[in-house]
Amino acid sequence: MRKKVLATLLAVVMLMGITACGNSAPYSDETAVKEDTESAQESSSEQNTSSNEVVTLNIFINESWWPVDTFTGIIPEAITEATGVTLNVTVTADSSQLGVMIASNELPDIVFTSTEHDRLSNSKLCYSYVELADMYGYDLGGNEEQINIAKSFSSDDDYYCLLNWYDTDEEWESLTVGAPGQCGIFYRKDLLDAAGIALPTTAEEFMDVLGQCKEAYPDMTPFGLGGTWKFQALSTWLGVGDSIYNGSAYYYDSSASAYKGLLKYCNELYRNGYITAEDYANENEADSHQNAYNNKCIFYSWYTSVVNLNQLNSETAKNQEGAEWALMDPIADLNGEVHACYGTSKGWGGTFVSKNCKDPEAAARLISFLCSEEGQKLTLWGREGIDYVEVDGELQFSEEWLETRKSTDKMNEKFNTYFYFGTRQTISLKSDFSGIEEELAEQFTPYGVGYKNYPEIGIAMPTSATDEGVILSKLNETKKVQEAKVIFSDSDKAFETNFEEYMKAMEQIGVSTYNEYMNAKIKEVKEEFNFGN
Amino acid sequence: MALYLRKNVYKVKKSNLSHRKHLFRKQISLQIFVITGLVYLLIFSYIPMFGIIMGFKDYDIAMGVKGIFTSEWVGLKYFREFISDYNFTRLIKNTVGISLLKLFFTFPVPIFFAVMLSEMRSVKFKKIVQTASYLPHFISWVIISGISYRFFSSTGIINEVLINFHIIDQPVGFLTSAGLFWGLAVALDVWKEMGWWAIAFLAAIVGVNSDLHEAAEIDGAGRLKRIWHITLPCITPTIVTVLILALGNLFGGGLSGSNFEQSYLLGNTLNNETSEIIQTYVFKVGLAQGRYAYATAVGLIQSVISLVLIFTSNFTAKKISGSGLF
Repeated sequence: MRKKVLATLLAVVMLMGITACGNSAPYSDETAVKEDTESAQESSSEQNTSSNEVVTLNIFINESWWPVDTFTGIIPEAITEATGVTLNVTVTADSSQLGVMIASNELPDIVFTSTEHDRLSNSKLCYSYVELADMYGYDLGGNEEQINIAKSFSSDDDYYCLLNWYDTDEEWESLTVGAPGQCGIFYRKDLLDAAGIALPTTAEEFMDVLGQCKEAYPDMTPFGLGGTWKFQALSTWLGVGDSIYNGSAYYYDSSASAYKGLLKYCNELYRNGYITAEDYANENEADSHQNAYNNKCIFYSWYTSVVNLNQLNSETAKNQEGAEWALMDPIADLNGEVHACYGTSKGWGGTFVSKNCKDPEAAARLISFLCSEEGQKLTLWGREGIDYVEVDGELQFSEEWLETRKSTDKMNEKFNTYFYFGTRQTISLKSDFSGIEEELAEQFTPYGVGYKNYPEIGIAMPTSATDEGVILSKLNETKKVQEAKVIFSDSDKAFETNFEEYMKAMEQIGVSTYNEYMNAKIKEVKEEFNFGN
Repeated sequence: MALYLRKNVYKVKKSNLSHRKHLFRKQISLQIFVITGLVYLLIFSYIPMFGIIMGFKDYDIAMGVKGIFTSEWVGLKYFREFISDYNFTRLIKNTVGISLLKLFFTFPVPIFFAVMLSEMRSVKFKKIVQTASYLPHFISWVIISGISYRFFSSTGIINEVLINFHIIDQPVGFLTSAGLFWGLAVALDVWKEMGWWAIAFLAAIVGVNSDLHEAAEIDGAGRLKRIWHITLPCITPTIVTVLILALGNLFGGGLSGSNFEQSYLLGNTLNNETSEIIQTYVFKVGLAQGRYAYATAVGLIQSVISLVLIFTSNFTAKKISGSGLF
């Protein structure tokens, strides 16, 4: 008898352990979703009226490079004071995590992401901004262009986010300092000065300079590839960007006329030993930064911002006294021609309120504040009258702000300017470039020369559910793998063979079909949004 | 006469049934475990099989569970898409290649290791070696891939040692070379699982009658002959059982079931040519890109190939050894 009872108990425990009950089934039918929405409305309005307690919402930030994972600091505290909301932050570990969360319907209260906008713009997964505005009466911001861009992600003519970092042409024209963010190359000024190596002005000179660096510093890798940034700067400077889109005709990267030249150049970098395969294979920015901080590389590919330059200097100084990083000017291509970067910015990151949100009213309140002019300035400039004042349109920061800004770690700990979910890029640039030494600001000016923005490219991109979207996903995946194979070929013959195989693969997947689609769609978008007129 | 026969058949059937009931009641504590396992298989393996029809439908996750039944039939569209995909041959080659290599290496190595351990004279040393050998089994593949990066990177310990001893001039790209991925995956798998699976064989070896060894020794058989003629034949049932387990999970990575983990964690753009397998491809297109119907079709193709391989292996095993899975 005892044995039977024991056996039964053990079996039940095993069954419970194996089944490990999880959450509710995904995407239950509309009735159930409606009931959830109604009960969420009731409970949140009860919360609102019944107390002034701070609401904690869980946010998932789908950017693996995000440098902060807590909602602490002067600015977050001010946001909490203004909205009654605080955030419990989770930063993604890799690019697949959000996809898995969407698949298993385990989205947290809020998601901030620069990808998967079309998958998240779904009434079964997230609240639309119109729905939130109707339910709670908040103005969730956004101009007509932003709203139309956000509507293009969904199939129901509604919008579920507004992309930040979007500026109109007028806002760009009003910018008097700085340059739009893009990939650039930083270099160790102290090492080059010590070895008597002059900075390159052309791609050919860059190859020579790397050779000189390898000779002078054999234990260091001449060119470090920062995580996902890799050859983006070289791609612009060698003319690939301009041969992808020049304002009229569009080609997918691999079809661009200057693309093979870029790969050949990168292959030469590899065969001369100026880059390493492992550095290329590494997609984790934090690991790549360690190479820069620990005297492992002399040139380093990364996003151009004052914050990043300060970070490189402060972190490297901990390991090497006298270390000094600076930003290299863009260089001319192999024909001596200079190419400027262009943006495809239709905005960058979107903030979604998931249907699992325990307090959608609080989420709406938070987003409304962050998108307001007051919120945008607070998140990036700090408190008006304390951390900054605006005098005749110019920003003047306090001594405390300027001093703290010299160290990225201290800035993130004390002020924490990383919750800019509703801001425009021009606001960030005004912050970055106000109050800095002229010599430092001048390093970034060349990156703004000739900069153009083509939002029609970003808007025309197909959603993942369409046939063209499927082709684009396959093209992107194949490009990652084949590009690596071509760049890391060990001989000219292997390079040509691998490149030919690469091009065949892209044709087989449908790159021509994709190019045709994009050209037609870009024309349509330009007419609809009146771009380029 | 017919009535008499019918009555007797009924009595025999009734007594058979009551005999079975009696046996069931006698074994109830064991039956509970078996039934639990069956219920688990039913809920998590058989019932979800209905989801396979997703591979034949134009299904979008936004349609919910109902969408599996209400979405439009597309027939073999996704199967054709995968078979005509540029990556198809490479994925099949990698999946089958890694799985078979693991079977050939991770299956016999624990047997030899167990035999070697059983021949050790020093009990203390044997215990130390055995404990050290099965400890890696408890370390997750995530930790092991992190350790691998430290050991096998171009500035890692392995390359440093090889360069310092002038065995090589330039570091070997263990983690970035497509040509070395299969070897690395198999070697790590053997290292991780060898000790654990050796336990099963050691237990069988301990059960071998020592009289047989004594008799063989008297007859002049050396150590190797005793291993070949006594130890190995006596542990054949255990070997066949473990082989069954390995074959049953062939495409999962055999005894360790580690194909997905290794390909996902140690794979990168440079070794993708040989590291990407069907499981990682399904993960990428299914969960990361959201193409559930397509991923289901691809997964089904893998299951079919796996089934064909298992039937072929079983047939071959029966022909050679006389016994097989079924």
